[in-house]
Amino acid sequence: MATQLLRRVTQILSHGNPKPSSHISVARPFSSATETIRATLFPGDGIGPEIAESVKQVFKTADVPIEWEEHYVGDQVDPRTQSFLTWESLESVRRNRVGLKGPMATPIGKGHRSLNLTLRKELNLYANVRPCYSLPGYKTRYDDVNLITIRENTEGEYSGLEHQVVRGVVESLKIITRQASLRVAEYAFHYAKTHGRERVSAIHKANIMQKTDGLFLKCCREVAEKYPEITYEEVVIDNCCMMLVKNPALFDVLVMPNLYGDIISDLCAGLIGGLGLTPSCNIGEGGIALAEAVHGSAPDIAGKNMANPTALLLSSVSMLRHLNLHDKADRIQDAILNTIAEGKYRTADLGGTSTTTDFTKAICDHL
Amino acid sequence: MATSRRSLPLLRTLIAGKTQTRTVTYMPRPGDGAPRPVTLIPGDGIGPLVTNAVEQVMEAMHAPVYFEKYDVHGDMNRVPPEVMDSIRKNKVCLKGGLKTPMGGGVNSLNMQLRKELDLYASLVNCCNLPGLRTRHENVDIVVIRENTEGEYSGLEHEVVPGVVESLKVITKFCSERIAKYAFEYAYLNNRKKVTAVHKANIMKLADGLFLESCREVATKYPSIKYNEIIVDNCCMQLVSKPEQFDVMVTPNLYGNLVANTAAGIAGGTGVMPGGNVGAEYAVFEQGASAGNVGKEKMVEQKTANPVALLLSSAMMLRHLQFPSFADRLENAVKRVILEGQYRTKDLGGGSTTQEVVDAVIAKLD
Repeated sequence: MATQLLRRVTQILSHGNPKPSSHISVARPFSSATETIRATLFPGDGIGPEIAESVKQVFKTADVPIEWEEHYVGDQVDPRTQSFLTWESLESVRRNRVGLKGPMATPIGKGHRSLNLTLRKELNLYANVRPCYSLPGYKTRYDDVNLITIRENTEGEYSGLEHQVVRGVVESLKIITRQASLRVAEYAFHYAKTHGRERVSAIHKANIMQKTDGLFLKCCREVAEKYPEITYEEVVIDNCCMMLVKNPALFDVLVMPNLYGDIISDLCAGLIGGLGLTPSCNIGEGGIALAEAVHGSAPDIAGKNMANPTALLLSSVSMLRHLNLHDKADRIQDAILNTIAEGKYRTADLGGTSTTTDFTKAICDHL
Repeated sequence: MATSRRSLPLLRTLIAGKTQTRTVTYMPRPGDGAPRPVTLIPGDGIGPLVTNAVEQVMEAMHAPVYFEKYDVHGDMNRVPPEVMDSIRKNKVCLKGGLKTPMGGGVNSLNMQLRKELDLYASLVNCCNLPGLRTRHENVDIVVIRENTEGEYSGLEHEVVPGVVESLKVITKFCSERIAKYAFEYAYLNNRKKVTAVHKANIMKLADGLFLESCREVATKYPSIKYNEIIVDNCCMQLVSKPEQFDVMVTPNLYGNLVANTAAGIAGGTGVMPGGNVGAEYAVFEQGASAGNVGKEKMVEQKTANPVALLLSSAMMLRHLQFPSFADRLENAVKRVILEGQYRTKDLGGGSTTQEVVDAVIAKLD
């Protein structure tokens, strides 16, 4: 009877609809090695399938209790989603609440939405989280990078609302709402707290864009008051850019609106070695997490077993952390970092000669 | 001994890395040496400190400029009309920083100056200075940024409580003239490549218009290479491979970020010269000032870096057509940096502003 009660409670907790404004990761109190979690996997195009295979192998060797549901991007536009992603794929992510996405190349053409845009809008992915830390063993000009960029993903300058006023004059709208800013600020502080970070910096240009970025800052300040143990500061974006390239150790967690987030997160990716090594995770309403690899699909090396799976592997690690499987996440992350640090097995883009499968095997050996 | 005494100046020039080159092809017109008036706005924070440095150095050089000083502060509502009249009369202005207060109400005075005088091009020269070690070598980037429109139009309003809109305006007129200025600059300075920075994959109409104007102007300069790069990729490339960039032309906001990033990798905003120029007027200031204007500690301890404004004033001297004075100032500043003895805190040293100024004056020949 106790087990039955336990099972009922588990069901309620995992299927119950959380409050619409809830954005905190749905805690899975009974996630143990016995209960498998279903996750959606989009291998993607180009090198996608190879690196997805790497992830599956590493997870199997590490005994991670995840069962993958693979979905592929079709070659026909699904009228229900107006894109190449089918309704079933999206439902699967909504149901499972976690997903991992490989690189997707949006086919050129009209009449359909871009794949990333579809995912973002349909799943209401409002925050993009990119942890950037220098990989020991892969030397770049910066050795002490250890920061997280959290970028608001739905509004801001990327609302896509442009129009031509008269010939030769174009207006583009930048929209900032209180709701979206509060949401992303809450997530940023929550993330900082759960990951033991001490400082959150809000990046803005409120001296020029007083009302829009001013609203963003106001929301951040409100949330900051609820977390007195976390230091909160505000940095103007040009100052931030300069400080990042001179001394990236000054920053801890950065929270920013859409456009600045795009630029700063790519800048930080450049500091640690490029998009091929950067993990990324999109957080949606109701605790949905879709981890993704932000690099391209590299069609020129597809199928040649040369791709570097690090970005997708590190993204899957951040997915595990979202699921509170911290011990597994740490083990896999350590294995990856040790493999790269050793330097014996490195793929071509890091300056080595290993194949994808060799690299994956080395990581499994390190587990 | 006699030989060592004679070899000392030679050794000094060898250390300085440049021989005392005097250009043999400068012929001024009669009357060119008449002193020119320049409006000087010390501004807030470290502004008065660094403009004072420039005044001292100009005095020491006996440069044919005299300054008309005006008091303007960042929290004033408008730039006072007598200042604007003075700038319109003199056509050249040197400015320390004006601190724009956060929050609502006041339109940035810097923007006001730029719009009223139509200073549509902002130029920041980011290059590695010899002797100043940074993480990146071979940086030689000029960032030309559109200064009047774009995201900084200041057109914002609250639609309903909790929803705010801001307009970004891009016009063909402004995009065309900034593109023309960028290519003209490249042509006049023998630069090989112009890169346009944009985000046209997302903001298709707005940045698309900017790119269209750049492409049109590029066809008129077939000897200069032209390419385009998306702004997030651009920042990533700037921190990993900055040597691929030469002249960059950007709209307003991206220009701000790219200029500050490029200045950061080349040594910091304390050393990069820059100015704002329009068809009729020119205002020179620190190239990319990233909010250091209001740093009180710097003001109290007088450790602001005057190098940027000194180099910008050399730019100003060149603009006023006093090339040999500009050369002397530029060489003196570069020699001080090369020797590395007098450096302010942001360059890793411990000198005060005054010490650096004295060193520069001592190095003037």
